[in-house]
Amino acid sequence: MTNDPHIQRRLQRALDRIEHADLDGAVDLLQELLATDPDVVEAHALLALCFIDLRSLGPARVEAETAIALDGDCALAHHAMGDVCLAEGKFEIAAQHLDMTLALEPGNAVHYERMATLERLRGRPYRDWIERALELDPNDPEILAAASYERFTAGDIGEARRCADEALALNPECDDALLAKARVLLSEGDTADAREHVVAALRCNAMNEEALRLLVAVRARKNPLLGAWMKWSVWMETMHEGRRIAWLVGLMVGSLLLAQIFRDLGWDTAAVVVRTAWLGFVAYTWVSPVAFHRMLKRELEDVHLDDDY
Amino acid sequence: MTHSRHPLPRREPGPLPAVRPSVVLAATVFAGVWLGWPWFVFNAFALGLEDKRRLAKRLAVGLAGATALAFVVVALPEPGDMAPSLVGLVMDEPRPFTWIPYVIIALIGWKSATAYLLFEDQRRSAEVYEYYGGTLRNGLPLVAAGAFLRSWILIELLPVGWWTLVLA
Repeated sequence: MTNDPHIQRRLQRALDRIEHADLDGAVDLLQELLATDPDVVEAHALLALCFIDLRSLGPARVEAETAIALDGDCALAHHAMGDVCLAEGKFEIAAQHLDMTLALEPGNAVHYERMATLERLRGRPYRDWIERALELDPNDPEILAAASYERFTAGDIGEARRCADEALALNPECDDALLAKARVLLSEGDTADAREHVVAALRCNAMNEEALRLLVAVRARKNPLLGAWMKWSVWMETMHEGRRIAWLVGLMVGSLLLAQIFRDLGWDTAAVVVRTAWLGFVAYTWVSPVAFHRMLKRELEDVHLDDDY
Repeated sequence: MTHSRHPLPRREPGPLPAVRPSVVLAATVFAGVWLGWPWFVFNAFALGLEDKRRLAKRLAVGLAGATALAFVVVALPEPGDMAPSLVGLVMDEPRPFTWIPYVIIALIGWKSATAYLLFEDQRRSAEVYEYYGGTLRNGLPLVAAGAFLRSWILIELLPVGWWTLVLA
């Protein structure tokens, strides 16, 4: 960690922006800092973490690699690289970097929470990691939100609610805590309150995948057809560009094959329907994101938070 | 893991005009391999793609597979020479059957998959290129021109043969 108080102040300002979900502002500050001091490891690592949330994994990897090259013993640098690998789905390499963070900073609760995330994504039990993180820092809203999620998936709704309430009391703007509370409210059938919490989280980050999924779940309770369309839109919207294109190429080849099979069976009308449906789907993929974003914008504008929220 | 303490070289954008890899993928779909794949090679140099050996491997495998499938299409008999298909007999309506359209669909799938892999290899490089201040040019006019000239180039300009199936 750098000891220069001037640099520390600038890093703290960037951290404050990250906590208030102003990622673009944080990126600007960190890049300004690196323009004058290009070897500040923490700035590179924080930039990487910002880029992950902004879904720019190329620059995120470059910054994380730079941070590790500058100081291989910096836990934050390994934390950033671990998160890049998690976002890329490279769980084994992520585990190596997160193990390194634990070896370098065994008393930092955040690293245990990241290990819990890794194990959750791998589909393994992760309660022990959450418990250890809570022991080390029982007042971190993000760790409490992660604990709420773990309790919720284990079916302990009461504990999930308690953790979410505690997290929100510590930081009412924490999007993970808002979503944890929304999840509990939705399971209890309180769709109006759940929607308020989801929308509040979306106001922090309009492309928060979990918030979008919960919004779909809220909508689907009221209108299954709209919910189904939103579910499809969110799935397409949150998919990586590469995977989306792979799907479209696969669908194109599939539609060609189906149309040819119908033609060979003598069902020429069915072949025409398949070809037309494919062209219609292509046109839809142009229009759909615009319609979805309009709907999302209206959703964000329509919900007014209660006074006692 | 090994750790070293050394400044990383900053990757500056090169002088060649680079475009978004999705535009080159669109060129492959709408204009054909004759435009799309050479453009992927050019774009790899413009973006400063590090692993050019992988690019060469992908192109070699892509071309070899497409050529093999094109040969199969040319070698298969025409529909008129075929006996009624099993499907036709089952439907009680004997129709001549040929595998040619299916092999052509497999060829389209193969070329699309190769183009998709080339696109995936360049996607992250394009982000990094932009990150270091590089400007990605608008390649859509070239895609439109390629789609417009496609038939003329493949049928009029070049002699027609099995290679037409590869380049289309």
